[in-house]
Amino acid sequence: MAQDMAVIETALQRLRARIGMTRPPVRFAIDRSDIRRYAQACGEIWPAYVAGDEAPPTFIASLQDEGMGNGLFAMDLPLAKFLHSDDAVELFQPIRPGDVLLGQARYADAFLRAGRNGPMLFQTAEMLVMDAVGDKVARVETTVVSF
Amino acid sequence: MRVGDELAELVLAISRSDLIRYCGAANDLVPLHWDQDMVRAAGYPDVVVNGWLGCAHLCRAATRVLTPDRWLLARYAVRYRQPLFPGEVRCGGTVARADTEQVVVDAWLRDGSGRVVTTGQLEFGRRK
Repeated sequence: MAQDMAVIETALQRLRARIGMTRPPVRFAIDRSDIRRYAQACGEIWPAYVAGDEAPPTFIASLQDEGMGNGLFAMDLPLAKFLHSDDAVELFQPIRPGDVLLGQARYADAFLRAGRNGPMLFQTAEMLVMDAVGDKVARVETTVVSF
Repeated sequence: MRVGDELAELVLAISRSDLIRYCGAANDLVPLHWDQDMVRAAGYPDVVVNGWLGCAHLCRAATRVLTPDRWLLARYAVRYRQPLFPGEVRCGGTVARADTEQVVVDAWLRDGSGRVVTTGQLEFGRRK
Protein backbone atom coordinates (compact mmCIF):
# COMPACT_ATOMS: atom_id res chain seq x y z
CA MET A 1 0.00 0.00 0.00
CA ALA A 2 2.83 2.39 0.91
CA GLN A 3 4.41 1.58 -2.43
CA ASP A 4 1.06 2.21 -4.18
CA MET A 5 0.84 5.62 -2.53
CA ALA A 6 4.37 6.44 -3.72
CA VAL A 7 3.23 5.67 -7.28
CA ILE A 8 0.20 7.94 -6.84
CA GLU A 9 2.31 10.75 -5.35
CA THR A 10 4.68 10.52 -8.31
CA ALA A 11 1.73 10.69 -10.70
CA LEU A 12 0.39 13.74 -8.83
CA GLN A 13 3.73 15.53 -9.15
CA ARG A 14 3.68 14.79 -12.87
CA LEU A 15 0.16 16.28 -13.12
CA ARG A 16 1.04 19.33 -11.07
CA ALA A 17 3.88 20.07 -13.49
CA ARG A 18 1.14 20.65 -16.09
CA ILE A 19 -0.53 23.49 -14.19
CA GLY A 20 -0.56 26.64 -16.31
CA MET A 21 -0.02 24.70 -19.54
CA THR A 22 -2.12 26.15 -22.36
CA ARG A 23 -3.43 24.95 -25.70
CA PRO A 24 -3.22 27.02 -28.88
CA PRO A 25 -6.48 28.97 -29.34
CA VAL A 26 -9.07 27.15 -31.43
CA ARG A 27 -11.40 29.02 -33.78
CA PHE A 28 -15.04 27.92 -33.97
CA ALA A 29 -17.36 29.11 -36.74
CA ILE A 30 -20.77 28.41 -35.26
CA ASP A 31 -23.22 26.94 -37.70
CA ARG A 32 -26.99 26.76 -37.27
CA SER A 33 -26.97 23.03 -37.94
CA ASP A 34 -24.40 22.46 -35.13
CA ILE A 35 -26.78 24.16 -32.71
CA ARG A 36 -29.81 22.29 -34.03
CA ARG A 37 -28.08 18.94 -33.81
CA TYR A 38 -26.89 19.69 -30.29
CA ALA A 39 -30.33 20.87 -29.14
CA GLN A 40 -31.96 17.77 -30.61
CA ALA A 41 -29.46 15.50 -28.81
CA CYS A 42 -30.42 17.14 -25.49
CA GLY A 43 -34.15 16.66 -26.09
CA GLU A 44 -34.65 20.43 -26.20
CA ILE A 45 -38.12 21.71 -27.02
CA TRP A 46 -37.55 25.46 -26.66
CA PRO A 47 -38.30 26.76 -30.20
CA ALA A 48 -35.26 29.06 -30.55
CA TYR A 49 -32.94 26.18 -29.58
CA VAL A 50 -34.72 23.66 -31.80
CA ALA A 51 -34.49 26.07 -34.77
CA GLY A 52 -30.83 26.77 -34.04
CA ASP A 53 -31.41 30.52 -33.54
CA GLU A 54 -29.64 30.38 -30.19
CA ALA A 55 -27.50 27.72 -28.51
CA PRO A 56 -28.80 25.90 -25.41
CA PRO A 57 -26.85 26.66 -22.22
CA THR A 58 -24.72 23.48 -22.38
CA PHE A 59 -23.71 23.91 -26.05
CA ILE A 60 -20.28 24.93 -24.79
CA ALA A 61 -19.70 21.20 -24.14
CA SER A 62 -19.49 20.61 -27.88
CA LEU A 63 -16.46 22.92 -28.14
CA GLN A 64 -14.49 21.07 -25.50
CA ASP A 65 -13.08 18.18 -27.50
CA GLU A 66 -11.30 20.48 -29.95
CA GLY A 67 -10.65 23.33 -27.56
CA MET A 68 -9.67 21.45 -24.46
CA GLY A 69 -9.08 17.87 -25.56
CA ASN A 70 -5.96 16.95 -27.47
CA GLY A 71 -4.18 15.59 -24.45
CA LEU A 72 -4.65 18.46 -22.02
CA PHE A 73 -5.83 16.00 -19.36
CA ALA A 74 -3.34 13.23 -18.63
CA MET A 75 -4.96 9.83 -19.13
CA ASP A 76 -1.94 7.58 -18.51
CA LEU A 77 -2.41 7.33 -14.75
CA PRO A 78 -1.88 4.30 -12.49
CA LEU A 79 -5.63 4.21 -11.73
CA ALA A 80 -8.11 2.18 -13.79
CA LYS A 81 -11.26 4.25 -13.52
CA PHE A 82 -11.90 7.64 -15.00
CA LEU A 83 -14.98 9.86 -14.70
CA HIS A 84 -16.10 13.40 -15.34
CA SER A 85 -16.51 15.01 -11.92
CA ASP A 86 -17.57 18.68 -12.19
CA ASP A 87 -18.45 21.45 -14.59
CA ALA A 88 -18.59 25.09 -13.62
CA VAL A 89 -19.75 27.45 -16.32
CA GLU A 90 -20.24 31.18 -16.72
CA LEU A 91 -22.21 32.37 -19.74
CA PHE A 92 -21.67 36.02 -20.62
CA GLN A 93 -23.73 36.17 -23.83
CA PRO A 94 -25.79 33.72 -25.89
CA ILE A 95 -24.11 31.86 -28.76
CA ARG A 96 -25.79 32.31 -32.15
CA PRO A 97 -25.30 31.03 -35.70
CA GLY A 98 -22.64 32.99 -37.55
CA ASP A 99 -20.66 33.68 -34.39
CA VAL A 100 -16.92 33.23 -34.75
CA LEU A 101 -15.50 32.21 -31.40
CA LEU A 102 -12.04 31.65 -30.06
CA GLY A 103 -11.48 29.07 -27.33
CA GLN A 104 -8.35 29.13 -25.19
CA ALA A 105 -7.82 26.23 -22.79
CA ARG A 106 -5.52 26.00 -19.82
CA TYR A 107 -4.62 23.20 -17.41
CA ALA A 108 -5.72 24.70 -14.10
CA ASP A 109 -5.20 22.27 -11.24
CA ALA A 110 -4.39 18.76 -10.08
CA PHE A 111 -5.01 17.40 -6.59
CA LEU A 112 -5.28 14.19 -4.62
CA ARG A 113 -8.11 13.17 -2.29
CA ALA A 114 -8.59 10.08 -0.19
CA GLY A 115 -11.76 8.35 -1.41
CA ARG A 116 -13.72 5.60 0.32
CA ASN A 117 -12.10 3.02 -1.95
CA GLY A 118 -8.66 4.54 -2.29
CA PRO A 119 -6.87 7.56 -3.72
CA MET A 120 -8.61 9.86 -6.21
CA LEU A 121 -6.63 12.08 -8.56
CA PHE A 122 -8.50 15.13 -9.83
CA GLN A 123 -7.53 17.29 -12.80
CA THR A 124 -9.12 20.62 -13.70
CA ALA A 125 -8.90 22.47 -17.01
CA GLU A 126 -10.65 25.62 -18.08
CA MET A 127 -11.56 27.13 -21.40
CA LEU A 128 -12.28 30.79 -21.99
CA VAL A 129 -14.38 31.48 -25.05
CA MET A 130 -14.25 34.94 -26.65
CA ASP A 131 -16.09 36.43 -29.61
CA ALA A 132 -14.54 38.00 -32.73
CA VAL A 133 -14.05 41.38 -31.02
CA GLY A 134 -12.53 39.87 -27.88
CA ASP A 135 -15.56 40.05 -25.58
CA LYS A 136 -16.09 37.12 -23.22
CA VAL A 137 -18.73 34.61 -24.30
CA ALA A 138 -18.23 31.82 -21.77
CA ARG A 139 -15.86 30.30 -19.29
CA VAL A 140 -16.04 26.60 -18.56
CA GLU A 141 -14.09 24.74 -15.92
CA THR A 142 -14.14 20.96 -16.12
CA THR A 143 -12.83 18.55 -13.52
CA VAL A 144 -12.16 14.87 -14.15
CA VAL A 145 -11.21 12.18 -11.66
CA SER A 146 -9.17 8.98 -11.86
CA PHE A 147 -9.55 6.46 -9.06
CA MET B 1 -40.90 32.09 -8.42
CA ARG B 2 -40.40 32.08 -4.69
CA VAL B 3 -37.79 30.56 -2.41
CA GLY B 4 -38.73 26.98 -1.64
CA ASP B 5 -40.76 26.47 -4.85
CA GLU B 6 -40.08 23.07 -6.39
CA LEU B 7 -39.63 22.48 -10.11
CA ALA B 8 -42.04 20.05 -11.74
CA GLU B 9 -40.04 16.84 -12.19
CA LEU B 10 -38.68 16.12 -15.64
CA VAL B 11 -38.90 12.35 -16.15
CA LEU B 12 -37.25 10.67 -19.11
CA ALA B 13 -35.39 7.57 -20.21
CA ILE B 14 -31.88 7.81 -21.63
CA SER B 15 -31.18 5.05 -24.15
CA ARG B 16 -27.91 3.93 -25.70
CA SER B 17 -28.88 5.59 -28.94
CA ASP B 18 -29.45 8.85 -27.02
CA LEU B 19 -25.87 8.52 -25.80
CA ILE B 20 -24.49 7.93 -29.27
CA ARG B 21 -26.51 10.84 -30.64
CA TYR B 22 -25.16 13.08 -27.88
CA CYS B 23 -21.58 11.85 -28.43
CA GLY B 24 -21.90 12.83 -32.09
CA ALA B 25 -23.56 16.20 -31.49
CA ALA B 26 -21.19 17.14 -28.67
CA ASN B 27 -18.09 15.78 -30.42
CA ASP B 28 -17.43 13.66 -27.32
CA LEU B 29 -15.60 10.48 -28.31
CA VAL B 30 -14.55 9.34 -24.84
CA PRO B 31 -14.84 5.49 -24.99
CA LEU B 32 -16.56 5.41 -21.58
CA HIS B 33 -19.78 6.35 -23.43
CA TRP B 34 -19.75 3.69 -26.15
CA ASP B 35 -17.11 0.98 -25.66
CA GLN B 36 -18.90 -1.77 -23.71
CA ASP B 37 -15.81 -4.04 -23.49
CA MET B 38 -13.68 -1.21 -22.17
CA VAL B 39 -16.18 -0.09 -19.53
CA ARG B 40 -16.68 -3.68 -18.31
CA ALA B 41 -12.91 -4.11 -18.06
CA ALA B 42 -12.77 -0.88 -16.03
CA GLY B 43 -15.38 -2.32 -13.64
CA TYR B 44 -18.57 -0.54 -14.73
CA PRO B 45 -21.78 -2.51 -15.44
CA ASP B 46 -22.62 -0.52 -18.57
CA VAL B 47 -21.61 2.46 -20.69
CA VAL B 48 -21.67 5.73 -18.72
CA VAL B 49 -24.04 8.55 -19.69
CA ASN B 50 -22.17 11.74 -20.67
CA GLY B 51 -22.11 14.02 -17.63
CA TRP B 52 -22.95 16.94 -19.91
CA LEU B 53 -26.08 15.17 -21.17
CA GLY B 54 -27.34 14.84 -17.58
CA CYS B 55 -26.41 18.49 -17.08
CA ALA B 56 -28.42 19.44 -20.19
CA HIS B 57 -31.49 17.68 -18.78
CA LEU B 58 -30.96 19.35 -15.41
CA CYS B 59 -30.97 22.73 -17.17
CA ARG B 60 -34.03 21.70 -19.16
CA ALA B 61 -35.97 20.92 -15.98
CA ALA B 62 -35.40 24.54 -14.93
CA THR B 63 -35.82 26.29 -18.30
CA ARG B 64 -39.31 24.79 -18.66
CA VAL B 65 -40.31 27.26 -15.93
CA LEU B 66 -37.60 29.90 -16.21
CA THR B 67 -38.15 30.21 -19.95
CA PRO B 68 -35.32 31.52 -22.17
CA ASP B 69 -37.41 34.43 -23.48
CA ARG B 70 -37.37 35.93 -19.97
CA TRP B 71 -34.45 34.29 -18.19
CA LEU B 72 -30.87 33.50 -19.19
CA LEU B 73 -28.82 30.86 -17.45
CA ALA B 74 -25.85 33.00 -16.45
CA ARG B 75 -23.86 30.54 -14.37
CA TYR B 76 -24.07 26.91 -13.34
CA ALA B 77 -21.98 24.46 -11.38
CA VAL B 78 -22.67 20.75 -11.61
CA ARG B 79 -21.18 17.81 -9.72
CA TYR B 80 -21.36 14.28 -11.12
CA ARG B 81 -21.40 12.35 -7.85
CA GLN B 82 -21.99 8.88 -9.22
CA PRO B 83 -21.77 7.41 -12.72
CA LEU B 84 -25.14 7.37 -14.49
CA PHE B 85 -26.05 4.45 -16.73
CA PRO B 86 -28.70 4.30 -19.48
CA GLY B 87 -32.22 4.05 -18.09
CA GLU B 88 -34.80 6.17 -16.34
CA VAL B 89 -33.82 9.60 -15.06
CA ARG B 90 -35.69 12.20 -13.02
CA CYS B 91 -34.63 15.82 -12.69
CA GLY B 92 -35.96 18.32 -10.20
CA GLY B 93 -34.95 21.20 -8.01
CA THR B 94 -35.83 23.83 -5.46
CA VAL B 95 -35.63 27.61 -5.72
CA ALA B 96 -32.87 28.70 -3.33
CA ARG B 97 -32.89 32.44 -4.03
CA ALA B 98 -35.28 34.61 -5.99
CA ASP B 99 -35.87 38.27 -6.72
CA THR B 100 -36.95 40.21 -9.79
CA GLU B 101 -33.50 40.06 -11.40
CA GLN B 102 -32.14 36.66 -10.36
CA VAL B 103 -33.32 33.13 -9.56
CA VAL B 104 -31.05 30.41 -8.20
CA VAL B 105 -32.15 26.78 -8.36
CA ASP B 106 -30.60 23.89 -6.48
CA ALA B 107 -31.14 21.03 -8.92
CA TRP B 108 -30.70 17.26 -8.77
CA LEU B 109 -30.78 14.30 -11.11
CA ARG B 110 -31.79 10.85 -9.84
CA ASP B 111 -31.32 7.52 -11.56
CA GLY B 112 -34.03 4.85 -11.88
CA SER B 113 -33.39 3.60 -8.34
CA GLY B 114 -33.94 7.08 -6.92
CA ARG B 115 -30.31 7.69 -6.07
CA VAL B 116 -29.07 11.27 -6.56
CA VAL B 117 -26.25 10.99 -9.08
CA THR B 118 -25.83 14.63 -10.11
CA THR B 119 -26.41 17.91 -8.28
CA GLY B 120 -26.09 21.43 -9.56
CA GLN B 121 -26.70 25.05 -8.82
CA LEU B 122 -28.23 27.03 -11.68
CA GLU B 123 -28.17 30.82 -11.57
CA PHE B 124 -30.59 32.65 -13.87
CA GLY B 125 -30.54 36.35 -14.66
CA ARG B 126 -33.30 38.40 -16.23
CA ARG B 127 -32.86 38.57 -20.01
CA LYS B 128 -32.25 42.19 -21.01
